[in-house]
Amino acid sequence: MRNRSCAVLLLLLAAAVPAGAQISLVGDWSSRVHEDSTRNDPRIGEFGGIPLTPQALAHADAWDESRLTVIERQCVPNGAAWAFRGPAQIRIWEEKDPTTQDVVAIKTFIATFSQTRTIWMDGRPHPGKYAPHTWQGFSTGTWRGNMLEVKTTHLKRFFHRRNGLPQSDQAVLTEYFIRHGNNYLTHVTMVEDPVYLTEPLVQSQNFVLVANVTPATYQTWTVCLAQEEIPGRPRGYVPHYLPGTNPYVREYSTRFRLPFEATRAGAEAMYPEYQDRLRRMLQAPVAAPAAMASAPVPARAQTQAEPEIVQVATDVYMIGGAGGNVTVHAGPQGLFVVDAGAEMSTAQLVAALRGISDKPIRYLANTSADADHVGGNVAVRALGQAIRTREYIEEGAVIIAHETVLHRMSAPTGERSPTPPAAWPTMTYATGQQDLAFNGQAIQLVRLPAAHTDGDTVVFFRRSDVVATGDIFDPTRYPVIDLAKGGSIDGEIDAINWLLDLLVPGEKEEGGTMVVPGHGRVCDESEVMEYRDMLTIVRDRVKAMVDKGMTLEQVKAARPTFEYDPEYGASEAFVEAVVRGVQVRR
Amino acid sequence: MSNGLRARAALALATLVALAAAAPLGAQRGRGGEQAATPRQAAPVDLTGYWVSVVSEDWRYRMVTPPKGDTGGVPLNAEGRRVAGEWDPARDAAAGEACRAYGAPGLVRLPGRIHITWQDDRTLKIEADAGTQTRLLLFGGDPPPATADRTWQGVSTAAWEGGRGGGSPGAPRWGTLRVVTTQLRPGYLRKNGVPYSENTVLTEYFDLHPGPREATWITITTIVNDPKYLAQEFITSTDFRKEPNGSKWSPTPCRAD
Repeated sequence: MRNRSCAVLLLLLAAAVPAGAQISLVGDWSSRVHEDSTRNDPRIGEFGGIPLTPQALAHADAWDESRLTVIERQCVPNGAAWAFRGPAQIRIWEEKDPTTQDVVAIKTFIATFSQTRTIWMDGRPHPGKYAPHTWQGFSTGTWRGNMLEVKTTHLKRFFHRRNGLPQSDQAVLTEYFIRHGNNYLTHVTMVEDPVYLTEPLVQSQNFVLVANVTPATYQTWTVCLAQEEIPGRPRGYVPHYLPGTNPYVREYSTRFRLPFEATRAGAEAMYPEYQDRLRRMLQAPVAAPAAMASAPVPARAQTQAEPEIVQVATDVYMIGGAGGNVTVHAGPQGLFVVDAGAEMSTAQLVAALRGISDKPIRYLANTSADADHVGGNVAVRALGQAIRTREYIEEGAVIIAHETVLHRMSAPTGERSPTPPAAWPTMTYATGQQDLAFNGQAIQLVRLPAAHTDGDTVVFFRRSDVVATGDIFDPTRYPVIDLAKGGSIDGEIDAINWLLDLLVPGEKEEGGTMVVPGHGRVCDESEVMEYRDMLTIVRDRVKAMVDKGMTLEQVKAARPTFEYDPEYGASEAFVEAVVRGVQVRR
Repeated sequence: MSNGLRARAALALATLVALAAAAPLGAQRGRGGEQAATPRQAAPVDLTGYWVSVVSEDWRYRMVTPPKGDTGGVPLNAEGRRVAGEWDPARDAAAGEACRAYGAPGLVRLPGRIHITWQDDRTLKIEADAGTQTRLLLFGGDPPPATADRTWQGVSTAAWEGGRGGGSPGAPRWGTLRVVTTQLRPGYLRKNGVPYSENTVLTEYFDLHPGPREATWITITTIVNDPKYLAQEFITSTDFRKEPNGSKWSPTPCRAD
């Protein structure tokens, strides 16, 4: 009897706990798109309600909906900061530790593009700055009473609105999931984006709990096979409008009789006091503001100095923060290292290498002769030991590169070389490609001529499915196109398109072949695609300006890189290289 | 006491303990955990202050008056669409009904500021500068019986839902304000004549939460139930950011257009 009483007591107490103290979001939820009802398919020029920067506006004005037909973009799903705003059927469930029954993660599945998201509830930290970004980002959650607060970082570049208003990959998302009674879920999203927003974008959307959900409810858009949709377009074609040529930007304001200026006013137009101005504008239309070439460029985030190791594949790592990125393939035969960072970071690099494996370094490949990639050559070579053959009797690791790298690092007899002989490549290749087998995997060194320089090598670890690109691809800045060393904008774009041909993305345009860029975080095809699009758009703009007879100074003053500067930094040298390249082509 | 009696007594005690625990904490305890007699003292969160609506959604429906018949997003039934198509702002103004879009179901969607204060220990007052409207949210007890005197803001009953985070004594307090409003005068969900009827039941949830840049926000979830004009519940959520003071408070009269 006592046991029964205890059981009853426990049951009653369990039932008595206030609903809020045991909040569960578990269930199937259906969105009610009663506000911003066109959000899934907004019109070109529909920018009201977004605290956009002038750079975001410039990006949207250049946006051509056909960009969505580009093969690398067809399977891109919705990013986490936007996904819940679409008409969505969402399942939420919990994953619990089987022993403690603690909730380790809350998971969401959205039918649209079949996106699964993990919100870690176990207190784990967010990854470092060199970790790859994903569409869903990295999310951690904590309960604030009846609200689940979620912080998300490491988001891929997406859109604040799906009409060309970009969301940068620096965006940070804060969310609140609030359950009301049994049937309603309010979801608040707060996006901070230092690149494309002047203030946080705060929005909220609503869901209703639904029962009797069948599998068919969720079986939508589960498979995406990217194929050429518009045959005959040239390789690497990027649909876009040159500045001032988009014929559709006024369509929205005209149709709904809105002042054109107001639809583009950003944060100012989101506050009540703007209504008076709107009324005045509706009575006496105001001309749209001139070009935004004088608008300030938001400051870029500072880089960190401490090296960080990121595991890219089972047997491939990236060391970031030691100058240029360093790629390390580790296996039973030893290490194959791509690039050696900057000289001043040698000690940290060596420590990082030894942290990955104590096996001997057998190969060091240089992707170019740049100081931030070969600065550690001497130390890394000395740390290693080549696999002895009859042909190769040098001490230390083999330094392998295209022969132009050796030419740049050495000097004719009697002249002083820019680097010590111990840093020079000890094995070079002069053809388009050098293959070798190591640790049971095929490794290909491919020369991509006339891009960053004329001696750039990318290294492809075929079994691991990882490419180390060197400075041909650097998502932290515009490419350094060294005209004096044989670089060119067209060669750079060709190289990036070659890279895109090589990369095979994973499901939903994420993962798959991983990319270690010359600098910055681990990437995959989507970041390379964005880079290609930027290069192509800027090249096309500059070409149009040069064709009109504009001088270099005039082109610079027109700021053809305007909307990309917050992400890629100083553009003067790049623009100059593009102008020179375009002029040569003419 | 026999074993049977002891068991029954234990069960009765357990029931009492459980029922006591089941009562909403907010109805019993003040912010410091002490016994509290009034809803004001029992408030788990502080909603008072000046708040500005940040119009990041439905911008073209809220910042300007949309054209007649532009009812996108509102799940109107055929009758609702018909009535929306008859909107005539000049007629409303002439009939002294310029405030039709400023009733409780539509008020928080209008760009503006709200000022929340305690009128007394049982009444939370929400003033809106848009249309110079005042809502009174009455805590405790049933709503007064329906009368013929319908008003733009209707009769609102309020209750706190929530308690202490995680249930532990030291945890921060949290909670939602739930408000149900009836006895409404027929009005508009949007300024362009999207109708709601006198039978509308409006349910709202006020949730306080932090935001970036150390801001404090209220998200007000609004559920409009009106079988006369709506095919299903009309659900929106509107976000307000707290302001440091009332310096931008700007009461304006109702406008029919």
